[in-house]
Amino acid sequence: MNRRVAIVGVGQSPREVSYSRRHTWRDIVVAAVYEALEDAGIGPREIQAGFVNYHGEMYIETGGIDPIISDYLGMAPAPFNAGSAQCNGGAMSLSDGVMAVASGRYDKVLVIGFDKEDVHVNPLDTFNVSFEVEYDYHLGLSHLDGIFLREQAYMRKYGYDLSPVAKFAQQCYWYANRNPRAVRGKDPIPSIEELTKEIWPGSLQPCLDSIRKRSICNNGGAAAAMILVPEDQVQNYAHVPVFVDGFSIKVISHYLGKQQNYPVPGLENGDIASMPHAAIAAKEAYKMAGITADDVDIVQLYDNQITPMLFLEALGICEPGQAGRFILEGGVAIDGHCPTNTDGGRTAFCLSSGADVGDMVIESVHQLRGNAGERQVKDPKVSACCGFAGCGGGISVLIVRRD
Amino acid sequence: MNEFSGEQIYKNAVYTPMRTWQERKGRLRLMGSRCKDCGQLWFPRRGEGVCGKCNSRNLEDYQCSQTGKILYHWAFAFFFTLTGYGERGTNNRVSTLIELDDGVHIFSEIVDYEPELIRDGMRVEMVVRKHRRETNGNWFYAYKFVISK
Repeated sequence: MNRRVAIVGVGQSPREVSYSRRHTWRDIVVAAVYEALEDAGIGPREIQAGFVNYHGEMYIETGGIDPIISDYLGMAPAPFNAGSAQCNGGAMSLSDGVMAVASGRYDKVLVIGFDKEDVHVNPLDTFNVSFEVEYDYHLGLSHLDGIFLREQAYMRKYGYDLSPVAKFAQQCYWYANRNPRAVRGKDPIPSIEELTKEIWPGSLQPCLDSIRKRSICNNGGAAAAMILVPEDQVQNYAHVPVFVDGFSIKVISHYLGKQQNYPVPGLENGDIASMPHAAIAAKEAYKMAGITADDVDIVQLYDNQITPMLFLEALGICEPGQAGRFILEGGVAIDGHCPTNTDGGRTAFCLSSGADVGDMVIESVHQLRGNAGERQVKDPKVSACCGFAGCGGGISVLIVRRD
Repeated sequence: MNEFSGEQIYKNAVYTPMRTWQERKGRLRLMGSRCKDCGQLWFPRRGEGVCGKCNSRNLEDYQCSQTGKILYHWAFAFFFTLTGYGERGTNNRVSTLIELDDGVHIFSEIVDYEPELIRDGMRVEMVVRKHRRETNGNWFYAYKFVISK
């Protein structure tokens, strides 16, 4: 890149369910952005351009949002480039923002990710329509069915039961208990027995309880915002600069059948028990940042059932089939080999699609600045963030680092 | 029907007859595509599109095998199923990844079998089943799979 790019301000909307219920999507975006402006110590009129991502137009039942964003933020006529790529969209906006600064076109760029899920007539349809559509959604299959099939494939291929999934969820609760902003921050940490019983569907209802209460944590709406500047201007800001040194996004197909042995080089031998496109993305991101997997101190990833295992293996933190054992042996704990999802993750911090990758990067910024409080990992320098869309059709790997 | 919507409210998932008609070959007969240059098989069908392997636009309709085996199954259907789906009004569904005899992979549902008895590797065959209504009130039909006898 022509110019190295730093994150100098971060902000997140309040995550209390009561806040989300009382506020519009415009409100939560403003809350996150103005917190980021305050964090950076700059005014709204200094922002030259923005990149915003949300799950999709149907999710908030509003489209063509760039003028709305620019107007409500008090930044008009600054341009906003709006995109939608579900839970992976934050990576799209951040990489676009980084390139806009790196190219020299802009010096102060705002990156926003948000979603608002609690305002639909029928949330199930809007939730599931982000898929191949004619051959899965229209036939009654959701992307979560796809994630569960990935889970079955992984467990059967490598001989696991659901205990690694439960252990990872339990660790997320442990971190969330030390994060004042986490939606589940005050919930007691469930036992492995409770989680396993609830995650493993001996009958249908416990499974539903698991998904609704334990494994994902949707507060109804959230926003995350970051401010990017070039490296030669970081001395103007108070915080320790955190640089976006590598990123790679790979998308294949939403259709689960195609994700099994997709017929292009590097993917043709991959099955749904792995994510070969994520491994390719990790290699590219590492190369761009000039690091290897051994340099990664912490990981923030999209956690939804089996995805932590798939990502830890794609990142090269674990060998194929070993991530389950790595988690069971405490590898993702704060004193483990690679502390993971230190804000509580999508399991216990917050799941909000468009804000997900932003939340991962913001937690990385807090950890790298050293201001993560009780959940602070000892002296991390490199964080890898991993986004995930659909049932694996789109993924991203981002490397953020402090010098 | 489910606890989130309270009652069946069709919204995005109401299909227009035009869309159903456009996809009739794929949904009723498992018609996919074959690249006439590299031989790659594709499902869903790619119409007059591009081969995702060699980028040829020389595609032809291809009748996929209608039998195969279960690669992976999820026997406890997820509660996020669309309104109107589920066997006889419940959400008790079985989603599977199926490998057809010609190597094409299908993401579909197994019906007419006890979910607890389904195992990976079982032989399956395509059937046509009623799914849900279109905007004009017609029933929309498409493939599902049953365990072969």
